[in-house]
Parts: sequence; structure tokens; C-alpha cells
Amino acid sequence: MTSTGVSTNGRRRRVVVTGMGVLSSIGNGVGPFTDALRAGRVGTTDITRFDTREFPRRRGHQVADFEPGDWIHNLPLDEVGPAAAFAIAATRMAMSDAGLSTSELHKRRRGFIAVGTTDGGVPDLDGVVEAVLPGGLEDMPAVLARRVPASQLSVHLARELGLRNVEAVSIATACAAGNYAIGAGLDAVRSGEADYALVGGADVLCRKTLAGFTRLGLVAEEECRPFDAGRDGLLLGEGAGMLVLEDADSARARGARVYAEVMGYGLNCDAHHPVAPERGSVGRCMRLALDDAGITPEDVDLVSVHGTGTETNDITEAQAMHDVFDAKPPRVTAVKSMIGHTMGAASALGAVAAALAIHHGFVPPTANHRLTDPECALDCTPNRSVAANVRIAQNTALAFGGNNAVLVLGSPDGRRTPPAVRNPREEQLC
Amino acid sequence: MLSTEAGAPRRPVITAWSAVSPFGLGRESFELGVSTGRTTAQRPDTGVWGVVADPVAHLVPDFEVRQVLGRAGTRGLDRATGLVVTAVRELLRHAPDIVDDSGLTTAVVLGTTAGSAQGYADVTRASLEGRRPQDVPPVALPNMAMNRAASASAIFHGLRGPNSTLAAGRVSGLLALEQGRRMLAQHRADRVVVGATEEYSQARSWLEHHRRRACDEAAALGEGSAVLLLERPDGIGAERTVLAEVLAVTSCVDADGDPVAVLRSCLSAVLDAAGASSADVWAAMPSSCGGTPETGEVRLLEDMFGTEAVSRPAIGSLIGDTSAAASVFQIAALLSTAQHAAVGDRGPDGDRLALVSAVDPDGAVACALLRLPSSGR
Amino acid sequence: MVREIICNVLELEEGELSPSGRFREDYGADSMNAVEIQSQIEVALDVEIERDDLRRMVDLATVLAILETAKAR
Repeated sequence: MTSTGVSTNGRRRRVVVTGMGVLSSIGNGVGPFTDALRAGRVGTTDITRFDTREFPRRRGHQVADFEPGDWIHNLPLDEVGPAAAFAIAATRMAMSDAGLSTSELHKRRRGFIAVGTTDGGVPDLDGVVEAVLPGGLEDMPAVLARRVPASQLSVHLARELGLRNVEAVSIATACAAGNYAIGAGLDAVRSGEADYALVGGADVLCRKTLAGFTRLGLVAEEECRPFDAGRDGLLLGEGAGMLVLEDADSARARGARVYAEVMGYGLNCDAHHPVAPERGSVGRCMRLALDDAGITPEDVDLVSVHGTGTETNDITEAQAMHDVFDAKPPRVTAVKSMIGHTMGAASALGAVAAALAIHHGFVPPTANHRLTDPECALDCTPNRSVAANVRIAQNTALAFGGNNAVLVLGSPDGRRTPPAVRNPREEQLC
Repeated sequence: MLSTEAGAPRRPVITAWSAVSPFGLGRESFELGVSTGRTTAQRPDTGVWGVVADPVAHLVPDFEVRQVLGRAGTRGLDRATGLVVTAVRELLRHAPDIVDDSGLTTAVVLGTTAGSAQGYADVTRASLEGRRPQDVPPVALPNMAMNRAASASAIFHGLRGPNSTLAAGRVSGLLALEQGRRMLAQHRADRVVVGATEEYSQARSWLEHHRRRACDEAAALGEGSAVLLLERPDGIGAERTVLAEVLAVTSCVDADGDPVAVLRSCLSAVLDAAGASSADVWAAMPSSCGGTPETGEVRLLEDMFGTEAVSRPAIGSLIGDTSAAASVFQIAALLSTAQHAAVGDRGPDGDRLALVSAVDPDGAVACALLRLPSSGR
Repeated sequence: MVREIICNVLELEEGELSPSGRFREDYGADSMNAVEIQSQIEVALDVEIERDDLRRMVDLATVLAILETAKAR
């Protein structure tokens, strides 16, 4: 149960994704999410999670048909904030998708949990502020106050599943947090310290974040159009993406269906500007990830991009890709066009999309696309998904503060064999 | 008996540390405060903090971000961030070489509770009270992500390696140490600045007041930031010595409402992993500070390691409950204490084992075992 | 009023700000400072500054010219 810092004789275990759980504006559960990505469905609605009537732009992406009580069976419901509830639900979906029950996880020696998040319990902090405005701080609702710490996203998840022998950590690296969490899980399983990892990200829409992005002039009026010449910003979203990681040998031994291998990742920091990304540093992070995966840029078939649809991000990210891929970047997909910018969940959901692309042999589209910005010059798979043999996919995430995280996923057998029949378990979820 | 052979460390080592604490700015004032056992509690000035819930708190004296760090790049910087940017600045005085390679191989891993709760609350309040909901102060917006403290530390000091922020309540510091250890093991960095930060504020005061159950005789809140430099044992920088070897870190989750039982198994595991027995432990530093609800933690440590090992002043009783920063301050206090301990007060080979434990009310439990070499300093 | 806001955001003495001194090149402003100037002017003068106008606000003279048109709208 303990890590000692002594490596497992230098042997690096291969780590694979055997289950995925999704909450998003275009579908809950990996089956509906897959169908929606394939169809290029866009989940934009008016934001109603909090009062947005006074906001000049209030389009966004919300999770529908979600009842915390359907997923939380062991903890008191009022102890669990909305983002923690998302993490629990998406993890239960991922475990079911992987064919793993909680009792089976209890039998394993040691686990690792990492939930990435931008806002964590801030939606409840918003509620606290709203409650104390009329009366004063002594009127603070204790139920909400208790749910503010971001640690609860991972610790409550472990408690709900009854997992004791786990390292449970929330990773708060803003919009790159999902990739950080998956990378941390890769290291924990790769090194042999953990037998499985439950990793990904979760975030819930809140006033603080919409107010901030509106003030920065980054919110789009109607739709998010990554890499489009007429793009006018991002749309905020909420959701969760959680993945079950296991070492390849034990996954094979139990006959698990494998979506993809987690081949490697890279992290670095621009150390440059609080909110603007830096081209050279973003490119360096991509190279770190490809090196960790032991591949070269030519091996990459698809990039699931950060692609927020803001002017600065899209140009900087495209330029960094042109640098790394020697002016011939592979095809890309920007799923934020369909599900919005789900903050800490964004790169986890981007990773889910990349794993599905590898497993099912298709590239999800970049929706809402009209005319590619010549300054970006990428094939962003406009509007319609395409069938393609995706062997290796890169998933890019850039965050405020210059926290970059790039993940590399690959076909588990080095080549893709299209599944003859879709896994019926996927169809049953949600 | 400790089976790990003494001599050259094989595991990650702490080679420098610093702190900004209620004792003041830098390592020296912290060491002085710990050695004299001075308490730092004071009544928070309502002219500065507004109406707060705490009769007393442990505050970093005279800490105004722009006075301490200067005006360049500090406009709007929140207090939690200012504290850690300053702590890293102080750390670099003991390790100036770590930015020599453009900082590319130096990582930062920081623990937090929820960033600056005051900062978030101010923006939400401005949105609710302003003429328009977007009339929030732009200067505060870079603070609106919990990674602000870690990324600002990178910007100020040119640290361009992996940069991570994690939240695990009061065990955050120990999990940051574990994440830093793993980054070194996986060669994602050559050295890691491991730390945590916590600010005092009106928002934190009331949030903690309402979070704590009515029956808790909770310790006063404290604030500050402590940072450690973690390096691979075979690659430590020039002019630095090993202050501690990180033998093992372990963590668990209390899923059954029995944190003491979970801590007991955590402690056994950390000793097993290091090949040590409880009799080898020279000092044990619990997370609880005088009067906190985790007295069960102290009793367990006394049972396992003897009252003398737990007799050194718990840092929390001197600087208050520093929440996410607590366990890094515990390590800093052990390093201080070891330096000042009598030469005779050592194990047979001159090395000493020290243990840090942490229990968070939300269910996270962790501990770390350190070896403090006799040759350190 | 506008001059005061800009000096405050860019941390300049009133005398240091010239009408044609460029915020970015001459006074070291970044994108966050631009949003801050925009925000403070919007709140103080009760106007809306469009995104395209914000991009054209490179010095004091252009800010004042754009505000004239904004107020006329």
C-alpha cells in the first residue's frame, strides 16, 4: 500500500483504459456520448443552473437528466457538492463500463484516485455569498460552507465507493486538470504503485466563472467555433469524464475490453503570463509527451485539441502544432464545439473522445465550422465525423497560468481492428 | 531495528526549505520561533480583516503583498499567492542554482484548500451587486483558478518544469511530497519545489467557523506558506547537503468514520515500506494542534512511538491551523527541531527517523517517514 | 477621469501619460491591463465598449475618440 520511491526494477508497466464514464451536454454515458460525437451533435442551450438573465451572453452547455440520488448510495446527499456528485456518477459509469464492481476493486491491493477540477466547490461558495448578502456572514448556510474544499471531489468519491487503500487527490490545475489527473494515474499504475486508477475531471457551471469570462470578453454569442475565421469566443460548459486505468497484463487476464493504451504525457509551465499561452512552451510540452510515449510526431494520427474558440488560444495552439509537426499537423478535432469548455473536465472528455476515436475508428468533427482561419491552417474535421484508422491520438490541454498538459493515447495492439459488434453494455448506460 | 542501511540515501532528499509564517519571513525566523516555542496568536484587527468569527488567529506579521514583493507583476495578486511566491523567493536564497538551466527541469507542486476563498467570494459578490453581472474587477481574474499560486511562483522565479496544484485538505502537503517524489521517479523533473499555502481572510474565517461542528474546540486559524526542495539523491546541487531523506509516504481514506484506525494502518504501512519499526522513530509530529478534534491522532502516536517522541511542541499549537499548509509546516518544524536537538539525542548510527502524520476531517489520512542524517549541516 | 483610470491601471504618474504614448509598447501594458481599462471606464462612465473598439484602444487619444462615438450611440 505504500510507495517507497524504489522503482519496480526499471520495468514500466503498460497502462490501458478499460472503462469510461461521461456527463456532458450531448449525452450521459459513453454510449450516448459516442453516438453524439459521431453525429456531430451540439449541446448548446441557455444556462439555467444559476440566474443568468442579466448576462449579455448566456449560451452554454449543461448536463441534463442528472439526479445525484441515482448515483450516491452511501454518503448523505447533502454532504456532496454538485461537482463531487458529477465525479461520483461518472466514475460509477466508468466502472460499470469496465465491468468492475466496487467489491472487485476492494480486492485489489492499492488504488489511485485523481479528479481534476477548475472550480471544485466554488458553485457552493457562490451559494454562500448569495445567502449572506442580505443578512451577513453569520447567516452562512453550513451545508454549503462544508462543501467548498476541492479535496472532496476525490475523497468523497473514495468514501462513496468504500475504497480505503487509495491515494485520493484532487488536482486543481484549471483547464488542464483532466490531463494532469490521467497522467498522474498513468505514473501510479505504470510504476506498480497502484493496481488501478480512477482518474479524470469534473466541473459544474457557476456564476463566478461566467462573470469572469464575460469580463475578459471571451464568451461567444451563439456557438463556439474553434479555428473558424469568424470565431468569437468560448462557451462555458459543465460535465465530467472519468476513466478506469489498469495495467495491460491484468486487464488482459480478466478479459477486459481495452479502449486504448495511455502511452505517455508531458507537463510544463510557460512561466510567462497569467492568462495568455506561449507558443514555444506549448510546443515543448507536446514534445515532452511524444518523448514519454516513445513516438515521433509523424506517428500521431489525430490531435484532440484544446481548441477553445478564442482568438488567442486557437492561433497559439495551431502555431505550436505547426512547429512540432513540421508544418504538417495531423487532422484535429475540437470537441468543445459540441460540449463547450467544461473546465477541469475538458481534457478528460477530450481524452475520452480520443480513446473512442481509436477504438471505433472515427474522428469526431469540429462542429459549427464555416471557414477555417488561414492563421490556424488546420484540418479540423469540419462538421461531419469521418471514418479513419486512428492508431495514435494526442490530447492537448492548456490552462491559465501556463499549465500545459499533453496526453498520448494509442491503439492497444498497435493497430486498430474495427469492433464487429458494438459492446452492448455501452448501449445500456443511461 | 532499522534495516535500511545507513549511508548514502537512495530515496528522494530534502535539501533546502523555507517558510513565510506567523513567526515572520524566512527560515531563520521560523527556526527561532520553533526553538523558543513562542505562540503567535493575536486578535485579528477588524480594521484590516473586517468582522471575523475568530477571537484570535495566527497571522503573518506585516505581510502586505506589494510591500514584500514589490510592484512589478503583483497588481491584484491574492494573499495566498503572495505568501508562496515569497516563500519560494526565500527558498531560492538557499538554492540559487535551480533556475540555472532556464528552470526547465524544476517542478512545482503546491497544495491548496480552494485557492483564495476571499478572492472568489469578492468576485461573486461584485457580480451580484454590480450594475451588470460582468462588472467584476479584472485585476482579480487571474486569481480565479486554484493554480494561481503555483503558476505565479513559476512566473516570478522562472520555474518552467511541471507545475501542479493539488487539493487534499490537511494532508495536501504530504500528497504534494508524494507527487513530487513520483515526478522524480518518473524523470519528469530533476528537482521539485514542494509546498503549500493558506491565507487568513474574512471568507476563510467564516467558512471554517461554519464547517466546524459546534462541539469542536477547534484551534485558532493560522496562515502562511512552507516550501521544500526535493531532489534525486544522486543529483543534488552544489553546496547543498541532505537535510532529510524521504523514506516513504503513504495515504488512505477513512471510509468508515474511524480515522484513528485508518491512521494506524497507514503508520504500519509506512514503517514496513521503510523497513523500520516504531522503536526507531525519534520524533513524531501530528497534524493536530492544541485542542483540535484529532486528539485521537496524538494518543495513537504516543501509543506507538512513546510520549517522548511526541513531546516536541506540535507546530499547530504555535502557528495555528494552517489547513492545506499544515503538513508542510510539520516537516519544516521537524527539520528545525532536528537541527537544534542535542548531539546525544540520536540513534546509534547518528541518524534519526522522524514521522509526520495528518488527518483531515473530510476523511483523508496520510503519513510520511523521514530519515534525518547526522551529517546534515 | 479617463486619464486617471489609465494612469491607475498602468501605474503611471499623471505626467507620464502622453496622448500618443502607446499602452503596450511604451508603458508595458498587457491584455489584462486593456480589459482593466475597459472595465473601469465602462463602470465609471456607464458605457459599453465593443470588442473591436477595445482592440483599437492603443493610446489615450484613441480611447478618447472611441468614447466619443460610444457615447453618441
